[in-house]
Amino acid sequence: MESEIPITMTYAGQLAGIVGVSEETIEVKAGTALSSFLRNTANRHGERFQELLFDDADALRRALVISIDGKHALEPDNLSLTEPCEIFIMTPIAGG
Amino acid sequence: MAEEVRLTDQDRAFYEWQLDVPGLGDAGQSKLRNTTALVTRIGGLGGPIALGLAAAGIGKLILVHGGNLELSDLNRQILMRHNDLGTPRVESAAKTLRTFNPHIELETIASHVTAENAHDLVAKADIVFDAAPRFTERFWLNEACVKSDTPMIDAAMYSMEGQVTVIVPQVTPCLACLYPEEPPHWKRRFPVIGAVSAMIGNMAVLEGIKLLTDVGEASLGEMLYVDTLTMSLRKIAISRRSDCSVCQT
Repeated sequence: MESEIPITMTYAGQLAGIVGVSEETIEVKAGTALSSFLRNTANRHGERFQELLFDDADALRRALVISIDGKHALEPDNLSLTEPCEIFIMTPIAGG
Repeated sequence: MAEEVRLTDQDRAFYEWQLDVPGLGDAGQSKLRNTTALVTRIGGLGGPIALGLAAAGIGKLILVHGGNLELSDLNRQILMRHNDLGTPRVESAAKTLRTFNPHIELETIASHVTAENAHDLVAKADIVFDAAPRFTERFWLNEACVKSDTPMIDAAMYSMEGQVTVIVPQVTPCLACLYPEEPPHWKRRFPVIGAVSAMIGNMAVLEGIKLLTDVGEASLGEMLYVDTLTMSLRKIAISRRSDCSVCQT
């Protein structure tokens, strides 16, 4: 049986306002692809959240800032979740 | 290259308490005195940035901001004055700065950054502070800074959050490494409390001072993210993109 691992999600930018909290913990099967995990997370949080994360071709938007345990994930499509970690995800902001 | 301006007795008196900061001294103050900083724009973020640089004794400030002052600007644009409503923002801000510190040189440009003027504006400066509310302006400025090897402090905020990123061309990631495409959902109007934008602006000033004077360590290769709801500071290690269309060409 595949084990489940806790993923701590931290939301910033417009995402926190949509989710209503800045942090939540989600259990996921070890080895799940990051993009698949984010797709499921987006589905739970509604259409606006999905639009901010995914483009019309259902690809993760390249302008998102995603970091895993404090390190910038430049190519999130290539990553899998194998251990408990914290994912910080921010939509770009430019308020001046 | 411009001749170095030496610190005067008046400078030493003005910045007396700042000169006591360990590591700054005459050498650091002299670097600030001989630096030209471009600040664009000078609203909720850029206003505190310009004020902080003026207080620190920057030699010259170039203020870039178009449009006339509106009532709804005043909750955050702290260099502006109520009796200047309807007049150019950049002149209202310059008046405040001249009253605050008459010893710094000021240049005002009453327009925003464009694709056409970005390179000429950046060419006038030793360091750029980017506080524009549109990504297009930020990207034009980033490209001009990378091409001219000019450091840029990128500051941004949204609601109760903000971020500061120090960009040193060929050393750190550039803005296009961070955001390789224009974010489609960013809107010109954003929620803002003036205290948040002032806080983020002052963080940007500190990063600039550290970079210029070598006091402490500028946050190279990191995005500083602040959430004022929880008063937490997060440092995100950022990386250069090998396929960056701006800094890898």
